[in-house]
Amino acid sequence: MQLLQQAELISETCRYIAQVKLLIEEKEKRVITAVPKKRGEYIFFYPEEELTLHFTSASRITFYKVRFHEIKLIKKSIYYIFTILSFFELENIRKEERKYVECPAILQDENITKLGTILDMSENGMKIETKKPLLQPFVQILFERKNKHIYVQGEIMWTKQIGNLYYYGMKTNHVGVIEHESRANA
Amino acid sequence: MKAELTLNRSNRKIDIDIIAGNNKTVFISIPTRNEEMVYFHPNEPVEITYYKENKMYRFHTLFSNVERFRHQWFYRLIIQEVNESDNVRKEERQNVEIPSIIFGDFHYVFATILDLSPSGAKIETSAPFPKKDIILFFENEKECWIKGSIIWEKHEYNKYYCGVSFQDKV
Repeated sequence: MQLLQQAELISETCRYIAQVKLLIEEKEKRVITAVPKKRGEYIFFYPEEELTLHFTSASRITFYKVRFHEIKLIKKSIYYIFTILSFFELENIRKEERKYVECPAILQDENITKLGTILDMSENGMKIETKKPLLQPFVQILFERKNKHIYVQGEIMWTKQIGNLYYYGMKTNHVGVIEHESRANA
Repeated sequence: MKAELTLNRSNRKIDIDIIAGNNKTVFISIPTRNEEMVYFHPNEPVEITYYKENKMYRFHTLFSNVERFRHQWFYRLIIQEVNESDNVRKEERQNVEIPSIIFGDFHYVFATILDLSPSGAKIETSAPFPKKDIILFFENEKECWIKGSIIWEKHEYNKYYCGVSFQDKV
């Protein structure tokens, strides 16, 4: 079976799960996907669990609301079958391409060090999840990408709380890059 | 019964419950990692470790399927081999995945705490840490700043692992 399309799988709580290869069967109202993998592990869903598949092109963003149906063995390979519940499209008004990541970050907020996770990132912005609320409109953010420590200044544009976690949309200004230090050159 | 499952692909251990079993089959709760449920392919090897008093039992199993009983979902594993050995752990260890930072003498590195006991932790980093005496920062239920010393180190598959002995108990 050839899974030609690729989409982002998003949880009910709007959390990015994984990129997944898939085949949409509009007539049967179902989506067949490869088993999604995250941090090296295959992910399982409960039957009836609802998720969103999300495709982005230059002009449109397409969403499929789906429900996990079953695990199927087809020609010795395992696939997940989802039932399509609804479908909608939006004009893509995003100015920059957004990359889904899961990257730990140190946040300096009112001289207090906090930890956060960067969930998505574009050239001039990012979405951050924290366990503790941020107190100031501006925070210093330090994170690691491709063996480099990157330092940015973030300005909070929006805030959302889901359960015990806090989410922030940040506008960022790049400040600097620090090369990785290793024991070999320390 | 509490037990731990080894994820060989990502070098992690996850706490699970053994729900039922006999000498051929073991039923376990669905393992979760960062709130996501981990799945195995049919016949994929799965290793379960169970500690009882001063003994450790290691079950080498193969994943069979997902089953449901009284509104609860669980994994059925087929036992291939069981090894018994002495449990040399002095303290109970909690398998976790907590983002953290190691600081020490103007150096810092992003880290992940993989297991935590009252007197120490196992930590994964993407770069080696140049100092033995460190301060570990993480947010669990509260903010924790703990002084400790690196007592062992290991390099495996582009990741660095170290054991930290805490100077103050958690």
